[in-house]
Amino acid sequence: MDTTYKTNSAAYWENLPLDETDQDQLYAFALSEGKPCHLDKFVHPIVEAHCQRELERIVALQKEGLPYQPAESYSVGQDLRFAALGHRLGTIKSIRKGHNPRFGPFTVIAVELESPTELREFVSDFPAAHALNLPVAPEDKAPKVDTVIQLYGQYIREQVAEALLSNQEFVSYNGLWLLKDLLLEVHVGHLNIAEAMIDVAGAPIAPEELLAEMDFPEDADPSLQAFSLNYALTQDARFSNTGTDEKPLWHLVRLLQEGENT
Amino acid sequence: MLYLRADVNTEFQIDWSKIERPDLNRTQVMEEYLCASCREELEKHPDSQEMVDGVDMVTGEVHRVSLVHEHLVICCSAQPDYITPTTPLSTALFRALLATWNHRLTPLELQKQLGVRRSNPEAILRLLTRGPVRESIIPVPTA
Ligand SMILES: [Zn+2]
Repeated sequence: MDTTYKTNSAAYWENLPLDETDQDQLYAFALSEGKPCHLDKFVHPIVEAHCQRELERIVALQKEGLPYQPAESYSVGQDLRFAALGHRLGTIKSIRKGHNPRFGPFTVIAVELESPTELREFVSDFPAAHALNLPVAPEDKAPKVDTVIQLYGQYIREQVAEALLSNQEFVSYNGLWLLKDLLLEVHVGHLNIAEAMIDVAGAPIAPEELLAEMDFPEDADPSLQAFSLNYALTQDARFSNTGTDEKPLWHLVRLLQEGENT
Repeated sequence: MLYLRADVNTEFQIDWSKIERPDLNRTQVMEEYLCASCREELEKHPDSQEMVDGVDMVTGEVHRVSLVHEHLVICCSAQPDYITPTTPLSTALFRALLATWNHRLTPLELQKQLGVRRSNPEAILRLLTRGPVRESIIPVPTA
């Protein structure tokens, strides 16, 4: 059985299977953040969750058989996993005294290995240094989340973007993503205030200025207020952004048309 | 037992029954390959045919072999003159198998033992399977 970390391979991240669990992860992350987040911020929890799932898979596999270590003492009937033999599993059938003047006293375990079934012998209680004695914690070989993002972030970002796009629970504006449920309510009154402000000014107005006149909850994050307002204005045919996505300037379509006609 | 059609993944090993005679045992054959220091050490030993548990320092596996074979694996096979670029290929394969406890190796693994610059798995396979049995190296029968 293969106990190498799939999360170490490019192939895994290039064809990241973003399933329902991942969608739940994206939802949970967006909810905990509570404000609009850039695509990059969604990548981290997804990579972290995949690394964690892989670690759990490997730990479960390793529990099926203790990793064989020459220095250890064993008893008949124990199941062991042999790292140097492609992680094959085996059961100890008998134990005898070992003999080799080169080393101190040691024992020899006869192990019935699986796939294919065969009986082979291994040292135990071995007094000399042996490479297999070095304990390797499963997470030691597991890739670090930041390393994965550094190496494969480009592929993961593309797939996270696809997952967000296909998810009806999310809305986006200017590369930021937010749960629909977290949008602040921008009601008709708010939109009418915005329209009146621009009308009076006779010129486009930045969202921060418009927000100053609106009664959004004071404890709402400014980025959430701006996102909610910008998103609502994009959905209303009266308004047009004459700035950029990063620095929007909201104008009235009506005034723009009047300007064109004069 | 079946002998499958051999390929580069077929395992081979030395068949001592093709070498040993009443006046020649495997220990005597292997004594020829000992390095000077092991030869000197084992000459003093009362019984070089004594069987010991040879320990593979990579896998932890135990191989029941003679003291001579154990020395050959642990010490002599690591000496630079054990297999040289001028050692004939069939002799080099024989020595490579001895150096790995004569457990069993495929042509792919044998080539790794010889070093990547030496020959290639297909040529090793051809040498071991065409014509007379070379250095008594035969395919391991599958159960
Ligand atoms: Zn030697």
